[in-house]
Amino acid sequence: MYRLVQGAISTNLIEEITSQQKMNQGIGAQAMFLGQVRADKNSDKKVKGIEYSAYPLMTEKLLEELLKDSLERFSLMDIQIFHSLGFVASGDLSLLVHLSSKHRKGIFAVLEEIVEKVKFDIPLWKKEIFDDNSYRWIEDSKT
Amino acid sequence: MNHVNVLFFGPLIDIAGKEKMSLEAKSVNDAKVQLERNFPELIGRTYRFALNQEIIYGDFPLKNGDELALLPPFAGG
Repeated sequence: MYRLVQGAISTNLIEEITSQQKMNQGIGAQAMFLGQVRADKNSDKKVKGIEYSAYPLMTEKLLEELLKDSLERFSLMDIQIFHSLGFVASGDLSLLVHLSSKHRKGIFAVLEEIVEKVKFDIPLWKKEIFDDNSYRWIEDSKT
Repeated sequence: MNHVNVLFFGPLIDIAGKEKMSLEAKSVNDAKVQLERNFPELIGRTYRFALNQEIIYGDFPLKNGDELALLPPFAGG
């Protein structure tokens, strides 16, 4: 499943998702990626948070396709993707990708591929908000 | 003429000064010419078009009520 969440992703979700996996005892491996907003410095200004935006209909359609395609291609038992919309303060979580599979083999490579797709193939944008309330759109986030 | 709903996203919102507008255009190329005339800062910017939520490449005819979105490079996560 995927969900677009307003604001930061709660750390309670981590326990909730990992606990849910007990329901399927065929699972032998879980892997999770957490994206956290970094308090970068740009000249003398510090990033106080990031504001995320999306093209809602298209974003949901492409996330749905990514889930379906990944489940089929990688024989995963479960995928969960949570992504923030709106303002997320530095230090808080803005992305959670969780995978479950029968075995650990290959799970990290698959996790990395899915995270990269969420970052670059889904219509989402972000702007850094600085402590003086000025902002800067992030147009190349390949780092 | 066809009445098209144009949507701007990410940094292109700042260039257009708005998130959406309507345009009379018969094709995507026609819309592009008009948009770049109205907002010269679009010229040279990297962006793709989505027509009714599907990314398109090249020219397409537009119908009345179509949704044409200008999508700058994605940057999630």
